[in-house]
Amino acid sequence: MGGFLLRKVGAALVVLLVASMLVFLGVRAIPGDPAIALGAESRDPAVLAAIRHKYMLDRPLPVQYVHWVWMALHGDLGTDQRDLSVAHTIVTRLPISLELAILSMLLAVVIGIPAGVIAATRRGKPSDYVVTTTALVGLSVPHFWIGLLFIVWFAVDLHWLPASSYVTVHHPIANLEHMLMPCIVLSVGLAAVLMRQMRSSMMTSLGADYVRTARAKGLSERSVIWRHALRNSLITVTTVIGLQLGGLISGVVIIETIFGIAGFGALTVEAVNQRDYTLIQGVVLVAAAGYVVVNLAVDIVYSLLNPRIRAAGARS
Amino acid sequence: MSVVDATALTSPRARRRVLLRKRFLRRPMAVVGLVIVVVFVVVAALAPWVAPYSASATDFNAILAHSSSKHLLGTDELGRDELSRLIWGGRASMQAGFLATLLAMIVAVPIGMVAGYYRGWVDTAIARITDVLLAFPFLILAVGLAAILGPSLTNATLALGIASMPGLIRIARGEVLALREEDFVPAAVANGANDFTIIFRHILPNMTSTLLVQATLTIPGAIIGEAALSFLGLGVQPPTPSWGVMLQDAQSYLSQDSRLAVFPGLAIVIVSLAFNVLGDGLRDIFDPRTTR
Amino acid sequence: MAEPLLEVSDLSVRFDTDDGPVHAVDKLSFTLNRGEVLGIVGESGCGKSVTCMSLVRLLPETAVISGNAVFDGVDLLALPPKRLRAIRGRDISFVFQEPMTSLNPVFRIGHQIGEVLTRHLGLSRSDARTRTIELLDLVRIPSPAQRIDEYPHQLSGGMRQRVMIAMALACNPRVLIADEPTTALDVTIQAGVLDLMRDVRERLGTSIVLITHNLGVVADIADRVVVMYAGRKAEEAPVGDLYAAPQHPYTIGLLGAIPRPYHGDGERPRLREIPGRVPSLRELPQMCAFADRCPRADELSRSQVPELRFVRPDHLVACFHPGPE
Repeated sequence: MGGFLLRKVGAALVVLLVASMLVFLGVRAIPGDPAIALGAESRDPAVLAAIRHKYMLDRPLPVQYVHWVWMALHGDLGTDQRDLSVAHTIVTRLPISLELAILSMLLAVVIGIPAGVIAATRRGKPSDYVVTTTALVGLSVPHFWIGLLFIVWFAVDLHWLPASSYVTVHHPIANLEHMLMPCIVLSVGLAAVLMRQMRSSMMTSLGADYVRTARAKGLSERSVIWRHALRNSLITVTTVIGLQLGGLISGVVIIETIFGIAGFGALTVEAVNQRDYTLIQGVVLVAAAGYVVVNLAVDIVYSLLNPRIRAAGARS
Repeated sequence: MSVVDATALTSPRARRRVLLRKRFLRRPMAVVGLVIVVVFVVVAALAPWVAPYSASATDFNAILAHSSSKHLLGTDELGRDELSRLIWGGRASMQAGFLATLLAMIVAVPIGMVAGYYRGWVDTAIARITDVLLAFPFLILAVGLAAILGPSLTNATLALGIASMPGLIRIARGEVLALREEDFVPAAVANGANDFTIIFRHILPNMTSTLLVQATLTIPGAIIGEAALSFLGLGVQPPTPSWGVMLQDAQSYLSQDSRLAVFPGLAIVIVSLAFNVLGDGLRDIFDPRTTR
Repeated sequence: MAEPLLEVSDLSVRFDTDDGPVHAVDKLSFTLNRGEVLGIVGESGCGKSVTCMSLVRLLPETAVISGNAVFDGVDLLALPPKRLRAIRGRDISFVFQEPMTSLNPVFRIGHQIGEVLTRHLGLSRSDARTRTIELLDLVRIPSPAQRIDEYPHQLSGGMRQRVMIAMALACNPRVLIADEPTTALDVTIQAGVLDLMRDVRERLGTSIVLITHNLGVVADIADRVVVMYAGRKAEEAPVGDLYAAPQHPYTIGLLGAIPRPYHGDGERPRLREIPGRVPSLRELPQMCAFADRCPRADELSRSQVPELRFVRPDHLVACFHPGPE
């Protein structure tokens, strides 16, 4: 297992490096003087000179890059148009998005995985059709549209739930009230993917020889399905979850915008609309880095679940 | 001695096509999906002739009107015909979906095939590149591209295409990994074929069914993606319609008239469902393990 | 003579598939006595595996089973699922052909063996562990105390098969059904596994049903042999009689198809093959199933199904023209 993880960490570092280079070059690729872009479009020569000095714009690119990375590692991602620390803004708004993402993921898993298992075990029967159709529709629906409709139905028409904004976790009930619709909406796509994946994976597992052995041992059907078959299917599904994380990030951006949640995702859109390049740079870097780290965590979970990697001492 | 009936001799390829067609027709859902896709594509392609009005023809006497004989689906907040906007919008959205997928296939498939064929350090390098691509979800990519080049349909399509590449690279790689073990590969080598020929003339034709299925299943994601990007202002710029732009417009009038939000969304759902059902059906008929 | 342990009468298995019915087993009857090793031989598709799996209903839902299978006074085919599950793994257990895939890759082998003990005998975790180590020792796995915590992928094919046998013997079953247990193994490993099975029969008195297409394996270890063809029983005899004086043309053909080394004396024997192919199982032919490939076939064989008849006190043949070559 050690070797596997070491390789994964190494790969993650490489990816981080390349991603950061791309972000760095991206900002430098903006047509026009980077000093103007990085400096809130001010034309004041003194200000521009200060910016050139701060970001070392007169030095060769590699030097600039190293300096930038150095600053980033020290938590300094520059200041945005309003002279606020980018890093600070991100840090304040990130937990909100994390809460949204984690809750949505949990919801998707809790719904998607059992549904997939049930569909696989009752193949061809009505419950199977219900699950597969639901999953198909869930895949085909743009979540932001659902979000809009939910707002109209539940908030505006029925006044059941608040339409927008966010309440901190210090008020847990209000917090969940505000999070309920966004989480449901965001989890739809992921749940649909999990349902389909789980169903397909379980059908394979249930047809495997070791399931026949389990039955021949006289184990109960419940034990056969939920322990022997499921355990194997979870392994493949873990890799799928890893691949869906990117979609989750994209989803967070859109859902926060619709529901008026001032999280990291909404920050991204604001940054683009305001052409605040320092902010954009910081946001994209953090998003990419966050993805790489979370993906690594998923890889770790995978290595724990898969005994071929966990106990790699083979004597065969 | 029996006489051989020449008309009964069909090539294996023709027989297979007949078999596939029969299997497809046994799946009503897939057929419906195909019909819907074709209808949408044709209507979108023939927009200039099919749409009753132009996308920007305003009529300030009929703002937010309900459906009437003049405007089958009513009008929007500027008096523009909703049905026409839907048709023109569909044109932009589906175009983005198709082009993004096409771009992704053209770039990703060869890359994936090379990774699967040569393996070794080439495979590892491509795996890293794929990881880097994955680290930028389509929205973040679109944000980046919009920042550098300004928001536009082209940039949105580009972002969507790039975001679709990792999945396709992996699939192409997986296919090649399996196919390179087939007997026709050493046979081709023995006949003096070089790597390029083996990959593209021998292995690729065996992958077409998988690639077709994947393309069909990638398009709806791209269409939804374009809608999302345009909704956020990162794609098609108003007043040019796309389904995403229409949803953005509808957002401001949600409390007054939610009708405007329903139609574009419904259009997206129908088209996506159709593509997904079609893709699932295709995957089924190409799978040698299915019995019908 | 003691009462037979397992008495199967008129067992028929039909699979209702999308393309029509497949008659895998047609009115098969056989018995298994205590402490004996019964070999069931026949080529692939003759229904030998289906027969045994139908006894404990390990077949897919499309299988329609009829007939009786009386085990210890109870008809297995009429039991409700819960009672059947109590018998599976405890009184009747299985060893399958593919050791590579028959063990669950995500659980340690100790756990997989322990499961049977916990489920059927209600043993505690520690008792189960002790017994598992004993079992691993019984099947001659070296260093059982270490191996018990390993995963299947860490063991070789032969060792995995031994683990399967240990799992099958855990509750001291009355009947052990081994479906091609050595087919997927190297010849040298085969001998070891067969040795083990012989040992098991001697030490524990377990009755064994050995399903195989390998006549050498049968000669090695079986007491009695049933030869199956196209879902029906063709011949049944004690092993010595079968090899010395086979009566059914199919059995004769099978034995003639075994390659034998040529010692340079007399005419070099030709390897005989049986012409033709196994008939489709989609219909139940109202004639001798072997007729199309049989050198002795005539009007009678092509118009009626031959009944099983005693050629000697314990030697049955289903043939209109039985007898040596």
